[in-house]
Amino acid sequence: MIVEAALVGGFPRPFNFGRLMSRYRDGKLDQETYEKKLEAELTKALTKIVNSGVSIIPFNMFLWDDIFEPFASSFEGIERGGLYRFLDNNFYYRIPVVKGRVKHRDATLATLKTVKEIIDRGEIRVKIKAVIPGPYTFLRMCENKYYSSEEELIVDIAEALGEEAKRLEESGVSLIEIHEPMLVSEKVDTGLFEKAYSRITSKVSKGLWVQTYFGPVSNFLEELSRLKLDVIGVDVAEAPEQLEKVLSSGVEWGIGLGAVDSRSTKVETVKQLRTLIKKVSEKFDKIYLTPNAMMDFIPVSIAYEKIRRMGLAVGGLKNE
Amino acid sequence: MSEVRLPVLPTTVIGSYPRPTWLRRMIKLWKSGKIEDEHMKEAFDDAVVSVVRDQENAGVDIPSDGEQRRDEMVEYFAERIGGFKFYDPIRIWGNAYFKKPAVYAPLEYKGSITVNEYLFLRTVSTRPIVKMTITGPYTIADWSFNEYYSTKEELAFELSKIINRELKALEEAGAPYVQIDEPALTTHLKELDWAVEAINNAIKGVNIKVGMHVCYGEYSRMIPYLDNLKVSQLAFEFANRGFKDIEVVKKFPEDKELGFGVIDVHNRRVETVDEVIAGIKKVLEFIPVERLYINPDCGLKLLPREIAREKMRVMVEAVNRLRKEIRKEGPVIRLPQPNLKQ
Repeated sequence: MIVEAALVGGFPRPFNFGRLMSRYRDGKLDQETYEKKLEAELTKALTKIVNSGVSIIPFNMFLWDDIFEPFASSFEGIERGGLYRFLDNNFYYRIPVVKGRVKHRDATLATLKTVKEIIDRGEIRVKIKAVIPGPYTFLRMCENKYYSSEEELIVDIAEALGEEAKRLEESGVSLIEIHEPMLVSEKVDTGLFEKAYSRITSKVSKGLWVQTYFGPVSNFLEELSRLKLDVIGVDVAEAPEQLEKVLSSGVEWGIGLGAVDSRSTKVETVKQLRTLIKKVSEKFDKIYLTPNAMMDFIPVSIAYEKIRRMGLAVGGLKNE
Repeated sequence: MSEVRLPVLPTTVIGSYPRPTWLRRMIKLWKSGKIEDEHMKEAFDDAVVSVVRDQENAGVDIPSDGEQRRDEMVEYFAERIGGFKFYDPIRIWGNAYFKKPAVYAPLEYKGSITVNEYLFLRTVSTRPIVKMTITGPYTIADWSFNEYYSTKEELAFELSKIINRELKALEEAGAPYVQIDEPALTTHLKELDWAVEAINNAIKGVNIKVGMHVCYGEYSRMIPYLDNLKVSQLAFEFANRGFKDIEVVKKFPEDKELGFGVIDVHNRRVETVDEVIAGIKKVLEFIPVERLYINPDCGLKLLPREIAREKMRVMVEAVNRLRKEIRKEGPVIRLPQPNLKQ
């Protein structure tokens, strides 16, 4: 059985780090100085995260403003628009505005290369995964000013995201985390979902991790079980009621056990986390203990304490 | 008891107004300990004078103090209510951060939060009516971490008691018009039932004009819940959405005035007078002029000051042109008798 602590999506960007980025973006800091300071900050943060017992991290986690940023900035046919609320949070993203035919252009490979180099130079022993927004969530959270049908749009988005995932895999990333918070909504259009995912799975055949959050995905498990996935990330911090359904479902992949609440400053106990891991270990052989979503919504000091407990929970089990 | 009759289509602001550049510099110095508190207080007062003049010069009928003393609408109140603490700031977009408060102990009203703001504003403005703003109990609860109360609902109701005391303190000080800001109200529609009750609890026994501002949400889904809300005015944003779904106001509660947002505060392009007139004429198809106030979509603080000034001038000019066509009297606002013990 594999039990590891992993992060999903973003980790809080410390205030000083944010100020550094702002100064660079405003032209108040030259590139060389920025990159030097960035490396120092990233090395410090990644080392702290790894020392807490987390062994898998998304490589982009400090650097993007929101999950759409690099794709909306790079893909042909899309521009970044105004600020919109990210789901029901007091957190905002720049809406991707589709103004032409969506086509792939490299979005994240340069960042991957930078982060890999920093990890190598810092001799940080951690596995990295890539994060991309899921095509269904992308469709629901963008503004379409070009396509006449949702089907045409989601197919092109999925093609472009699938191509990005393929290139990330070819660059040595073994896990691709696909964010699909919109799958927890009441009405998911199964037809659109299946069309989109056939494009993704035709390009990447292993290492796909679909991450859901802020609600139960248990009503959609049957559709998900038809996909070739490696991991399904489920939110049992805010939607604990879905755990029984997940345990009794036919899914056979690994589980991303989202047991740490990424929107609350109340810190989970090691005992609570360990109890949950033991419970899911009756069904799953691959268990990744994770926050239920990206941790951008809580103060960085709390996030560090939460992942320290995650590390202790996982470490304790390894020793048993 | 005296009252003031306003012109038809009274113009007002939502609340915040850009801080003068010199004030921002002063605050930075003050926060790094390089300026004494009394000098900072003087600077805040002077900033209020400046931005009230901006609004009045533009012709706004009901100015606010521009919330010059407030860095952020939840943080300001949480810093002054017992039971809150702060961790390191969290990011809310790009590299913009927010000191999100956490409730760690029973909440405690430690004395008036905004009364001195009102009293100073009253001495500065030449207008008979000024507007005060207060962040509502639901938004403070939603934008805080709750480490003490068993549910967000319980926290919001505790906050409503505190806001109620603050509203009564403002009434005693003579404030005629207070707006409760509830931008979070559009976020979780499933909570609207009890959120409306919490807001009603906050205004219980308050006998001055109380409005509420909500922005950037699905009004069509929200409006049915607002029938039960005991405020007399709702200020909504419409310019940002290009006056597109204005028909939603067909179902607007008949006992309430509409504060109609005609200026987009997230766009630096200054609207034309004709655009503003067109927007107002559109809404007049659904809401009688007697129940209409005109305001920007939301607080103006994120705009450069000169653009905010120009946008206010355009808003007022549009209303002035319409007033020549609509020869009617405007609404009346009652002036409470200040309690001299204040």
